[in-house]
Amino acid sequence: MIASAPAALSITVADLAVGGLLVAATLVLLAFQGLGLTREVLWSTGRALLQVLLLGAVLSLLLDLDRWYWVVTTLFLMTLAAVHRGTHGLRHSLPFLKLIALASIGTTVLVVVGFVAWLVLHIRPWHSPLYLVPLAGMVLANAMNGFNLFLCRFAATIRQRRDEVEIKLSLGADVRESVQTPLRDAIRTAMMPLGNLLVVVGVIQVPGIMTGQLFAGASPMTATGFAALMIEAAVAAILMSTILAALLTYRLFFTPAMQLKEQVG
Amino acid sequence: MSVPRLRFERIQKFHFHGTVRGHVETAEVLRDVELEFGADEQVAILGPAGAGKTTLLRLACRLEDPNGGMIYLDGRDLRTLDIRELRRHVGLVFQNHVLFGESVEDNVAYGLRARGSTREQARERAGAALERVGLDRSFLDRKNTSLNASQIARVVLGRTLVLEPTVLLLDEPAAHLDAATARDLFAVLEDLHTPAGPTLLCATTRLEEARLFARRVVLLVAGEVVTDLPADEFLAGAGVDKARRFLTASGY
Repeated sequence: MIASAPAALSITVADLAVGGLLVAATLVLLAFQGLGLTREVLWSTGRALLQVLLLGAVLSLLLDLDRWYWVVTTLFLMTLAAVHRGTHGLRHSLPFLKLIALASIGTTVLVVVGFVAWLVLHIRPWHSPLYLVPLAGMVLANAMNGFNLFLCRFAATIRQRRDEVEIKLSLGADVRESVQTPLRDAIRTAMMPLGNLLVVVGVIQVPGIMTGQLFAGASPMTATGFAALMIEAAVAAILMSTILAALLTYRLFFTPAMQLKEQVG
Repeated sequence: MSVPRLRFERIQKFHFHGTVRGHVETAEVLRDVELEFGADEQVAILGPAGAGKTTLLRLACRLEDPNGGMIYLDGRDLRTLDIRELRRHVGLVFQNHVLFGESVEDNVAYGLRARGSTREQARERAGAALERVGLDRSFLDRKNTSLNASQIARVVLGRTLVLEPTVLLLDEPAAHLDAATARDLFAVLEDLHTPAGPTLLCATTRLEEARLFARRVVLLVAGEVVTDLPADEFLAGAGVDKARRFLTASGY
């Protein structure tokens, strides 16, 4: 017997509202626990839904406008949002941190999106928002997480191991040698979510892009191909942004005279 | 007149404590400190916690810079010296006896390896440094985790001594040691005091350690030098009472 062609599912506002009932029910359960988390969860869920709706509207608008500069502007604004989020969580500010984050995350998104969209997928037109925006979104999210996890962990390790870093400096190590252990520790931490994901993907977790394509009626093999490509892009994004973060930020914690600053990260 | 090995000239130092409503909060750590140390001196910097002793030592190897005043090593402004060369000449033994890496060799050979020595050269000199602090060369292969407090204190001292500094700074080296182990450590330091040996400056909160170790005692309180006397004079005269008063008031 020949299997019938997969049918695309459709979704209406009413379907979304029914889906919302599930969230409402779990929120009621949470409220009964008296943990004071209900408002926070309600706010972040509502905000996420609103952001997704906004994304849909922006994509439609970009398609209608059909101008490359509006697509580039949108990607730039998304990058700025990733830079803002990727540099939060430090106790003390570091000089030029936003610029460095922009260089690190911006380079990552440019290289990875450029490679995947133009060299692998050959999208036409080259500025098609249908492909560039979701691809850039995925790359930015991974690059931002890599940058932020590296930075926060590095700052925390430097604070904890301040004596070790300064002992090494006092023994004649240069800045790079003195932070060898915190660097390794922070890079490992930044890779950890990716490591966990790579272990469970295909076994426990079905990648989002694959789920979306299957729901939209694509064949499993087509969906698998795109999912594999997105995994490659995610790995490249995290690795590149973490390595750039490591190369560009560790010196910010020191003065030109190889002194660990009094208040770091 | 010979140039002092180390000279602090009108040193002022503030530490940044953060900002409150846009206003920068600082604390004065050292105020107009004037001190000179000769090549063969063995000095205790005595004072309660928070007196500025650690900061004074950190300034000498430029882990920090003063907010005012000048520091000279053999007559040369510290800021004109290559920072890594300076830190070879001025060694600091930190109060926390932190060991890194896996083995004693990882620690004692670290400074030499950081300066480009081969493993064999570094191992040879690290072994000699261990012997100077009363440990056998075989300790090089010992794991950090197998050492007791006394051995750790010696390894930490050897790690700095291996670079043959001309000034050796010790920040409360016996703070975490029992009385007997502390006496052993100060005996090792006493043996280092030769005409060719380094200038020794030891920060301490304990009068007993000043008695064991020093030829000269500088009493530092709240960032200011209160007295600066030869140890005999200090311990025999009014210096002791003054020191006891300040140290007792601070709970020592």
